[in-house]
Amino acid sequence: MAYLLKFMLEREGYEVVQLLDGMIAKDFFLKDKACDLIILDLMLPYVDGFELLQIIRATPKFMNKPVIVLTAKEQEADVLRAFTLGCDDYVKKPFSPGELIARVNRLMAKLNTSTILPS
Amino acid sequence: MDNFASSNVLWIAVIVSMLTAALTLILIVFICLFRWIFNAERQSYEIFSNQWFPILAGVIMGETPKIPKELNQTDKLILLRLWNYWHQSIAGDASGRLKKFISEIGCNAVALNLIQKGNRAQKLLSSISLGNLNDSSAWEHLKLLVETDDQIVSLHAARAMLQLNSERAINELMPMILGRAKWDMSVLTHILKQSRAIFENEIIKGWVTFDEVQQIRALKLCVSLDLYLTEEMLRQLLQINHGAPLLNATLKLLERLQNPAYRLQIIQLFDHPSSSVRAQAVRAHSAIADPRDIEILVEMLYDNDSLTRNYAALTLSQSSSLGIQGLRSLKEALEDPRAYQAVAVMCMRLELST
Repeated sequence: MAYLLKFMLEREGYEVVQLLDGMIAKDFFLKDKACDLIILDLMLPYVDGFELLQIIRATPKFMNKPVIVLTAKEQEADVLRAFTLGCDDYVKKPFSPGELIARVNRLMAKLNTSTILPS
Repeated sequence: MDNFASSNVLWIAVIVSMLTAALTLILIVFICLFRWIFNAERQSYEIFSNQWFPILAGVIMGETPKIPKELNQTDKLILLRLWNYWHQSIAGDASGRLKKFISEIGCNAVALNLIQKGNRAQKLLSSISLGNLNDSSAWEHLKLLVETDDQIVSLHAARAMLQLNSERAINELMPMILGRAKWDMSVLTHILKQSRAIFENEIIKGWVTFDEVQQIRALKLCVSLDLYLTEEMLRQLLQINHGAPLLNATLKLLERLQNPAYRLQIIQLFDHPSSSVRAQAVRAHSAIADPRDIEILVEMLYDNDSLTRNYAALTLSQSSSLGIQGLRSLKEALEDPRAYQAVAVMCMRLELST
């Protein structure tokens, strides 16, 4: 799925960094890297998406960056938890790629930059 | 004589050690061979997916695909695996485009062929694919697969039939859904989730034709699917003369339903000879208990079955008309040590929580 997201977003002209598990993503956020928007899965190996969301919101460099959660978790409790932890949007799988791009474009329009990071 | 015996032992030892060495060697060769096959398969899958991922991604985005070469049956099978994976995650127009593309390049024809002639893994992949592709020409092949003894393959074939035509599938599969004890309930629940209303309707229609075992399984599925049947059926099922398994399954359903309309019928079951029914009845009654039920619940504190006593104490501890003070007074008034213990535990829990 990460491949598809990368393909779609690059076609839209964004620069995409792909992080394939929770540990790599955690390192990325803690090691002073940069990005403008984050697409985050909740079910990741080693470190789950909720923990990453907490890390993102606690890291000064990322705390104001928009986060879109893209996940197969569809229970209301998960959605509420993700919003409580500070995500900006929540997209449930199966998802429409066109709709996801529209959401990314909307959030990116606010930032007016072009670097994206899907986890 | 001694020399002869020792030389025999020596020979046996030599033969055994040679056999062991030979077997070890054979084992090593097999391990290497399997590793080689596994790596070769993985490598070819990676090469194939690297070539096809951009094409499938392009189709999803609405591009006209450029197919790199003539596809053989193995290629189409790998493609089906890739497609099934993406199909689970993609919705909307993109999903439709991907489905159309897969059909156009003939993958469903391969699946239709392999569902009849393939090995177990191929049959499994084919039935999943044909269900996802909504290929109704696969109906009879899927039905044959459902009837096989293989639990996994038969369940996936049943799921595919439900995807093709849920009403017809439930109608034709009902005897198996209710009769095949080896079909895992959680998997069944998952595959029936999309057709809950149809399933409930068919259960209600066919109820009188089911035997007791089928009725119990139907009730269990109703619990896991959050279905509640009709009031008339539930009242009929709550008759005290029914067997314990049927009553327990009904009470579990009513425990979820939490409808005070069944309160008196549930209370009647407090006198059932089976301890499991009494315990389940007190438990189902818990959420719909009325202040008028305190007396009968106190009586249940003296039941022979510890679970029944504990459920009665739990219900009493949740009674707003009794409160913690009332529960303490009740505890002190109890003469039976087992009843006293059940209420004491609930008192302690209440005190800890406050």
